[in-house]
Amino acid sequence: MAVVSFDVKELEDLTGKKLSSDLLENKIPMMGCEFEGLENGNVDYEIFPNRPDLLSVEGFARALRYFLGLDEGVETYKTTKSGQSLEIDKTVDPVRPCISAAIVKNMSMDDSVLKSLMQVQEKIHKTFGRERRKIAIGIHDFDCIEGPFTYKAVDPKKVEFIPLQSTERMDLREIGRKHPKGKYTEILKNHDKWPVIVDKNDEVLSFPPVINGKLTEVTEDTENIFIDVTGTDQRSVDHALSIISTLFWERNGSIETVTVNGKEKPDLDPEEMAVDINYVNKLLDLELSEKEFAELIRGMGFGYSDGKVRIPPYRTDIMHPMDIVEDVGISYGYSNFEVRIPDVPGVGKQQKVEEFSEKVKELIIGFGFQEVKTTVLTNYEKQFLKMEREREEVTEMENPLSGDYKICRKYLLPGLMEVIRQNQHRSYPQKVFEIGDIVKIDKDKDVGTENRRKLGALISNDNVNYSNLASVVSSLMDILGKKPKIKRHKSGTYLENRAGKFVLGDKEIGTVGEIHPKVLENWGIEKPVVAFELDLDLIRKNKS
Amino acid sequence: MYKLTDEGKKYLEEGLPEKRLLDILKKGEVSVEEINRELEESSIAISWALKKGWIEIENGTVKLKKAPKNIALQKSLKKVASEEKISEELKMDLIERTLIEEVREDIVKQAQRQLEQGKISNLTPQLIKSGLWREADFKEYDPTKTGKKESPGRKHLLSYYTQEVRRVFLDMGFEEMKGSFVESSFWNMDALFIPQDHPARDMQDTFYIKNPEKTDLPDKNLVEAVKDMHEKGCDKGKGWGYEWREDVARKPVLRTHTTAVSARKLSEIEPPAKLFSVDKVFRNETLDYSHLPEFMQVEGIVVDENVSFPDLLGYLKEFYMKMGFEKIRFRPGYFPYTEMSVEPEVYFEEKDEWLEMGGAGIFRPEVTEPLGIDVPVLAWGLGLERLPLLQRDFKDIRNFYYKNNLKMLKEAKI
Repeated sequence: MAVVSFDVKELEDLTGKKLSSDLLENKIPMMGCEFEGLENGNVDYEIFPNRPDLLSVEGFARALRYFLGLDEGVETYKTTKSGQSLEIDKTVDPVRPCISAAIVKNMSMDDSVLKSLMQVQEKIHKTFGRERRKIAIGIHDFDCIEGPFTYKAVDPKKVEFIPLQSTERMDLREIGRKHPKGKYTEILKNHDKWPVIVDKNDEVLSFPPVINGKLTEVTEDTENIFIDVTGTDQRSVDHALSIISTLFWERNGSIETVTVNGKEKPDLDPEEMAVDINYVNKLLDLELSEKEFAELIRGMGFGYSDGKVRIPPYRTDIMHPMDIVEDVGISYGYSNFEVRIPDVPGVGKQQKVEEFSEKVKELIIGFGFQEVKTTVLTNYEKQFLKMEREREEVTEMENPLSGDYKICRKYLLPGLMEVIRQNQHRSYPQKVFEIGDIVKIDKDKDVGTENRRKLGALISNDNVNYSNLASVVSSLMDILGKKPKIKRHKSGTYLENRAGKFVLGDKEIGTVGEIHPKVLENWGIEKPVVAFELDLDLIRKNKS
Repeated sequence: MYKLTDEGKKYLEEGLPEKRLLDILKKGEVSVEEINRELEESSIAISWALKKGWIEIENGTVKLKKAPKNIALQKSLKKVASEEKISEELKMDLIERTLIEEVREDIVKQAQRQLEQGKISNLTPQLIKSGLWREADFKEYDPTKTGKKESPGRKHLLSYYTQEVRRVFLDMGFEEMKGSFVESSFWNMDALFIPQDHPARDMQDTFYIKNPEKTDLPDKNLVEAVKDMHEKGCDKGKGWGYEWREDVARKPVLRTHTTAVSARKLSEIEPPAKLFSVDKVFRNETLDYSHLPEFMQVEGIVVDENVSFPDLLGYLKEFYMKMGFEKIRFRPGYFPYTEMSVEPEVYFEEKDEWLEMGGAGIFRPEVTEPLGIDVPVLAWGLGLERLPLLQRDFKDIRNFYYKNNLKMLKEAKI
């Protein structure tokens, strides 16, 4: 999610109201954003991903004016035809097929407008634009170029221009290698031809989604602006253009349309959505009249007449009447709802595995063991190598951020060994246990794995041996009414002739033994350890 | 030293009642009435023989099941009489049946020896049984000193909270649900109307799984309904308008929320229903004092024709009140699968701060319709680790959850 920072003074100027710190901290979040901090005259908010229109100070102030009742209803965005056109060449189809454009005239730029523009572009690129993959926005000084414009894909070695933040003429591949924004050519790497926007004279305005040309750099002297939005999905591209172009309206620019492959863009006419007031009242448990409903929805910047809500063009998040319900709820104020004591019938019922686990937990605590919780995520080294066990097939991550989280555990014991290693300087004896789920590969399940509930426990002390723990297991099983057979068990984890495995019916339910000194050495543990691990699901389901 | 009691002496001579019973049965089956006639201690005899598994009773007839070669207890009576050693276990059995008792002279002697040594530090069974405690001069202790701290085996701090949360929901009439850690993208995201190019699917948030490679999708009609909802929407909703891909939905992930379990459940149940779970979820994040790659989520859904937004607020408020938070407020939030999204916040007095506890909302119709649910569904996914963090002011949760500091776990206050 995106955190934006606004200059409070600027926000006040655009809103037309003095904003107290209580308002900034407590009231504004009730409009649907999260307060992050107020410092040195700047206020930070986290903007939810469904509201890219709030990413700019202009858009935020607009929403605030409605919310505070300083303004009302859908602004009708008047546009005029600029007479400019942009043609889309088929060559862009495989690489970045969608584009939209607009022109804004008579802007008076200053430092704060420029800063706001930078911020909103950056934030939209990052979130809504999926790091420019889905959407990239270019903003140009219109007076440096001449239409008609063409959007086409070209051989990256054959087209060159001077990119922003540079003085050197480079071809597209060079930009990829040398320019600080060159990393975005990664998005194009599977294509031979890369997209550019050129003007009548074949001058490159923009190399989307990477960098604009120096030629059209926007400065404080810029009066007229050309906006391009490119991407992979036309609806999102048009949405982004609506959000950006209406932002300039807030700065008193006049919006002009561009003919993009025969269609006038941007289309800023409000969309209409039929909303049944009964539906709103039912979900919110209110009794709003049509008039009250209209008032509330206008307070969120919408228009209303004859059963239809008019949606301003920047509210690209409205997909279903349910979204209108939420805006009515926000306008009404979440804190004004009467909280109802719920009365839906139902009988409490717990999962069998949890019920059983609680019983076992109570017993094992009775034997003096301390419960610990270790992580499900681990790695091969801990699960197998350090335990002197052959590697087994386990659930493996594709993209772990850390080498510690490569696989899901199949055994609890390694986690318990780690607990002992970390607590060696604390008092002994150490008796710990964990009841938790492990993940077992199971090709018959729809998800290819199965969670299994296990119990692992160990004792570490100067003087501890097999019988200290084997007796615990057999008493435990006795109380649970199970009579497992115990057989000799051989594995690298345990000392030879000091390990047993428990068999219940035809199922092996677990092992117990003295941990092999080699394993202790692997973990850096200096006192003897005896341990056991049991499959609680198998024990619970056994019907002996 | 032990000696036989009168009853012990009698049984040494006559044989234990159960032994005499076996002798009778060696001649063949006998009815219970006959045994009652022949054997004075018939009920003792029968109950011991049954306990040992030597006999069985069917329709009032006693049958021999498995007679032992010799009866250990009988032998040990003889051994006690001739002052030979017997095992601790048999000794306890004989004492329990009052067939032997400690020799009184020995007890008195031992108690006297203790008295001779001066002040008594520990009261002993010998002093009590001999009655000589009356003459004892007990050493003075300082009862204001409690000695060193005991360290009991106990539950992990988080377990107190998990159990408490489970109890609260069970009390409110919720049924517990459970799913697996590995989940398909379909249930974790697609079924929740999260579009396939949504930022939430970014590689840095979700653990994608290499092995197993892919998952099976549910019923074809359900998959088709979800696909249509993403691509084209429904009669009132626009949908996302992109080409939905089955291979993306098949990709396995470690569930990022237990809402995946709720989605599965919704496809199976008929309203009304109230379901909950307290279980682990995973996020591919770097571990630090406030971010855990795996943590617990408190999940709940209420599916009913007549529920509305104030009910949702009611359930949340009720839950936090029962968990000991007096002040709770609600702020608008955003989740792709709920509308009327809300973030509950509780007031934490010591810090004089409102703190966010998780997310809740009413499931979007785009979520519920393909799952075959046509009534409102209230839903929440709340944090669990925050509760002990807030109430106990534990600064760094890694100490408990990842490092398992045994000292802190043992001393944690509840």
